[in-house]
Amino acid sequence: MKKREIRRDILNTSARLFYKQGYRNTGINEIIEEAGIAKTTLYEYFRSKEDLMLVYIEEYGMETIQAMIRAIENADTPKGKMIGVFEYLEDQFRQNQCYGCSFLSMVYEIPDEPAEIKRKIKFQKDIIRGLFTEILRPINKENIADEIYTLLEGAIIANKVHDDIWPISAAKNSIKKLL
Amino acid sequence: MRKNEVRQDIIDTAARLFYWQGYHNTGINQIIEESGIAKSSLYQNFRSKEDLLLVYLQVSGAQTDEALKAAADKYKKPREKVLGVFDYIEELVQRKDYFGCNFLNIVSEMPRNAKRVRKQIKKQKGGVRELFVQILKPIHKEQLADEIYMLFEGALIAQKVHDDVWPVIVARNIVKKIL
Repeated sequence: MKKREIRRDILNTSARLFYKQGYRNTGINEIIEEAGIAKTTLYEYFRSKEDLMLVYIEEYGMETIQAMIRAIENADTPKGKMIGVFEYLEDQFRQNQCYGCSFLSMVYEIPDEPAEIKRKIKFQKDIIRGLFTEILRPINKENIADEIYTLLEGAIIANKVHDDIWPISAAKNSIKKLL
Repeated sequence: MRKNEVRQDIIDTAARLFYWQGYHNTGINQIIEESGIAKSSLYQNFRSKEDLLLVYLQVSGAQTDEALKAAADKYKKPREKVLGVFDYIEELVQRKDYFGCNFLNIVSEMPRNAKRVRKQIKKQKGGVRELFVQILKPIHKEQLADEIYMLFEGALIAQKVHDDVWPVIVARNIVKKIL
């Protein structure tokens, strides 16, 4: 395997395990076993489980945001784009790909987590707020970007709590009224 | 100590630890140690850590229900009642002893298959949705209850991520617009 592929493999395996069973419940040994690599190989790429987590947040966060951007790039209007974000989420939920925002789970799972992790998560969320601001700027509604962002967070967490799709519909209804 | 007092002591200690350090970070031994009881007393009262967690969720759930209802009951008109609930959370999240919504804290830590715990949290949150339904019924706006509930969750979760009160204020603004 090429170097890049090994690194990617380790990250994918960790991502899947962190997401499914949580950060604390996932041991380095399990990651090594499931990725089918030697312990020393893992430590060539990542210094620690925490390091792995930080890279995970950074890279998966960017991927999530990029997927979101791709999902809305064909919508012509800012309103269409904003609704598109929620439709993208709806798709994710329907495909059962979603069990809450993996980053939020991290915030809660490790209350005494290093400040660095929390800072990184907040940074990801701020990028989304920024994205919404940019979408809404052409119609001079950037002042409601945070409102839509709050709806987004509400939809994701309520989907997790209720294990149902209705929170997305409710959020979409609110957006239609706001825009 | 009387039997009831022992039970209450265990619940209080567990509540404090679950809230501040999270469920997974809290071991049975720490609960025993900090409540100053014998291990056998704990198991006389609770079969498992999960049982204790469920009692914690029920006890704090009843307190939350009461507080939300009291915040709404300060006002007469439905719109004011709803805003009253958001005023209450605005004040709540700024308290020194606040560290996120108890129920969202726990649900975020739980893997998908933690059925009993997730069911209890869903029930709790279902109660909040129902509170908004009941408030809005007299003005025939109960179809807005889910949107308002979503804002409630969005405010709480985003407050935790950003460690700031703005999401609550933003959510309250949306409520004013849609109601």
